Amino acid sequence: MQLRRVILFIAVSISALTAGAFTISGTVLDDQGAPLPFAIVSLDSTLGNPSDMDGHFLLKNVSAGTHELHIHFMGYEETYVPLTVSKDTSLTISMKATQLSLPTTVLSISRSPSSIEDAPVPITVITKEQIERTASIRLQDVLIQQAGLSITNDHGQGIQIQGLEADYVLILMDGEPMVGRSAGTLDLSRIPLGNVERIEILKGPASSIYGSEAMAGVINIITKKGSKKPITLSGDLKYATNNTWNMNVGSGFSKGKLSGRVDLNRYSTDGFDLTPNTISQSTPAHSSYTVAPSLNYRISDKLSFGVQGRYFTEDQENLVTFSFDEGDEVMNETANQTDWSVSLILRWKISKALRSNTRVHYTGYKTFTDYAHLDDGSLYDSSDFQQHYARVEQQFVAFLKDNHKIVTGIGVAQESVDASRYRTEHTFQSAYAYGQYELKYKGFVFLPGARFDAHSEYTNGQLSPKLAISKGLGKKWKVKGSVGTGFKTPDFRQLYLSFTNPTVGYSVFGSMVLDEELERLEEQGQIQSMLVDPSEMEAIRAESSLSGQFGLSYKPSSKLSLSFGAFHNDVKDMIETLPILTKTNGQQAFSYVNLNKVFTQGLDAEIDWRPTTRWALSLGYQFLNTGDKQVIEDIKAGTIYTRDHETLISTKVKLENYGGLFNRSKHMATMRLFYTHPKGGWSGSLVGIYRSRYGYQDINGNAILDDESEYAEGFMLWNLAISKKLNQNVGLQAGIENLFGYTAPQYQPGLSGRIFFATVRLGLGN
Amino acid sequence: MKRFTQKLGLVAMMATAVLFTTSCDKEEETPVNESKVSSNTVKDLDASETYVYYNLSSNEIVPASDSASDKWDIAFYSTTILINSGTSGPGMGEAQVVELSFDEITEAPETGYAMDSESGNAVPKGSGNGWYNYNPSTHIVSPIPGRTIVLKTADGEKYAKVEILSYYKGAPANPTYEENGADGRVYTFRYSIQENGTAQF
Repeated sequence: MQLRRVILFIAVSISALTAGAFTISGTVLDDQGAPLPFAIVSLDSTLGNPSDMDGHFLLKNVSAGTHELHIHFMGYEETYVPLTVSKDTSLTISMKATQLSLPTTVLSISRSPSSIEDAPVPITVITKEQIERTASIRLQDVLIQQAGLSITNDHGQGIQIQGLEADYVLILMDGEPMVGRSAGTLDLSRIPLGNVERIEILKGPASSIYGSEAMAGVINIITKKGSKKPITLSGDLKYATNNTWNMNVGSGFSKGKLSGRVDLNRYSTDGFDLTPNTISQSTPAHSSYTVAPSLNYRISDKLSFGVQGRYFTEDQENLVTFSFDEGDEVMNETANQTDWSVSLILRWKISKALRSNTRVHYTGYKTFTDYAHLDDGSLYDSSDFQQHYARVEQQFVAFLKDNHKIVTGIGVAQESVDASRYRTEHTFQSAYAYGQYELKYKGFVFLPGARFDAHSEYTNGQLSPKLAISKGLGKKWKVKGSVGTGFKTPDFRQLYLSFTNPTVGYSVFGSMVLDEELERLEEQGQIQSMLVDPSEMEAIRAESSLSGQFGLSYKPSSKLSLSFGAFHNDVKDMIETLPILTKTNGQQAFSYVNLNKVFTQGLDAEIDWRPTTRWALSLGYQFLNTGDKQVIEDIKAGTIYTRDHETLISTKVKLENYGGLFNRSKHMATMRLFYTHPKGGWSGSLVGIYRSRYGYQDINGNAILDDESEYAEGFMLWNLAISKKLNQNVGLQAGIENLFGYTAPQYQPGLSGRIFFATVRLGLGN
Repeated sequence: MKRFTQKLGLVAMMATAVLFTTSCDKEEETPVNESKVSSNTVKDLDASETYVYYNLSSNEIVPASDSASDKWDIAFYSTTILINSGTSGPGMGEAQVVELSFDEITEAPETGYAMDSESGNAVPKGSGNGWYNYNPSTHIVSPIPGRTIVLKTADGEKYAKVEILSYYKGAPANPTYEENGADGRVYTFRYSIQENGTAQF
């Protein structure tokens, strides 16, 4: 032992004697010849020093012999320079920008890694760089920057894809579903972006692999995992108008076979009020915490195990006016929503050609709303909602020769809901199996797939097939097309709701509890007359769609890419409320039935242009056309009328005046402009978002969108952010969101006026 | 220019002549049973507190003390419309909601009428069922364009057609909850009544 130490000491001494003899100096430049400040220069994988403002670096005490320099700079390809040192050395290193800095693989198309280049379906990736550069902190901030995605406000902020409502967009966190929707909307502000690696947006139905809800598309949030370094720590703090604070802290570690990460987010805001003449705030004060830990353990080269979790809780306070016969009363509203999840995954490389992924996922959501009298704080009304979802899935991914790939999976899930508006707790089970085959042949990619869902509450299973094909035409052109089906099972509300409005007295019943609720009303003598014969009502079915997507892309150089798309979604059996009976109090009772057939169709285009490494410009556009097929038939038959505002005379609606579905803009466009200054660590981002006018509500009583007065005006939003990197570890950012302060209290209650913000970013060991 | 004015004068004269001829024709075609259609628009009838009873022939409000008589044809309170018949009054009235615009109804339908009864009124209650749509998010009640109430008067002898034009005071083009409150309940409607007992309007 003693001897070994001595030998070690001698060895170190010798290296110390020979080392230190030489220096390596140099300059790091971008491919335009401009210096890159703060590039990380490492020698033989020991962490080195950053280059200075002018791109210069200096490494001292370098021993003679062969070495490898490693230069790292975000947005540029990793560069390795082998060199033999026998004297002081000076060199110039040119970094090559990574083109469009897009990841090469995505996870959402087949629930396993697949190449984005070969993707035969429309997929968009939002990178963490885009999130950072645009100073986005919640999911809706960054989704609104994508052409064709529009933010809706209905019991939370939701996302509309290809003109289909938030109800039909599946939101996934690392491939696992999130639950907890109010009136169909999964509130996007529940998702902070601090720990997001990238966001994958799949447009068009994906029920062939994801099942229910994936009718309009899928948003898959991929979070940051583990660490390649022993330990990293990063964080940022943002302050903005309305006393809004957002703080992210994230830490990753790696030790042997174990790696992990934990992220915290704290958000609070005073909210804002666009309608000072009303008691309630447009967006009330709220605050939230999010914690997201994950661990990954590499058991062997073939086996690894991952576990991750999430806990989110948000509190909100507001004042609300209630109207009673004795007059109005202002009350205190307190609300909370909380969600949590735990996911386990066991990855097993059975052989070179076969992988197995076993996933267990449990998630829950609960919310409550209390109304209390202001004077004594006593409770007037309280409502709550709780949902649990658990599933187990076994997936196999098989790689055949010639890049063929087969993905199959089977799973079972159990879901339960308990709420003050349901009489009892309800539970249902589902089981599913899916398969997808990726076949590459002579420049073609064929991607047929199907999924079968069985459900304990429905007699009929749901089969969702899809076929996607792409074909490269030369090196620059690519054409792709897909046909597929989507579906959405009726939600708990549509099945089990049992609600009677306490002040007005109307009732809404879920379709599964309608019979027993009718009996109850009958016993209580509350039924005046039936409007529908309940025995003639059909059992409620899943809403389903048939969709076609077509795309053409052109990439003449690494600096420019253009894509063009067309889509058509045909949805049938949409679930609507229907009045069932008149109660003795003069009010009606409603239930849910499959009723409407709607379509959404459109065109979209995107341009990505990076003329130099300094500038990056993205332009996106979507044209959208929607409609209800029954309404169109009725207009053609001349049975829908409109009333003139001035004369009050009724005339038949003309088809050309039909504006389609409400809350859809015919034209939507976005622009993202990024600039990176070669010196001083400066960069900037300018984002523009345009929505043309959209139907807001029926005014003339015919329940359809056909009159000028029924539209909300179009609008344009601009967001500006300037960033400055002080050194390798510290960055500053400041900017203005909604630069021109556009507000529309009636139509966009979630849109604040002009917001100024400033952010400090810290990163250690990243 | 002079020639143009002369031409214009000529055209005007011809037009007047044609007008006269057509109106004369009409009078000649009038049947023995002389058409006596009277049309009126009633503005801002306040039905917010209690039932307001209306006589269409005299175009007058009937006092509530006469609610048990056949002096009234139609009554309004909140969104409810009564016809003087069955459970609502002693009259012989009947009504139905026709899905045609007021002007398109040139003749009252022969069948399809109902009286007010236990199982429901002739003019059905509820959003979308009868004469109005209720928007639950804005709480606004809008008369459905292209829905016309065709009724028989309390004596069961005359036909009338009624179109509700507005549920808010002053018949604003775009009533809002903030300005008009949740209630509205102030009717503006127009009607035509054929006094000769035929179904022609």
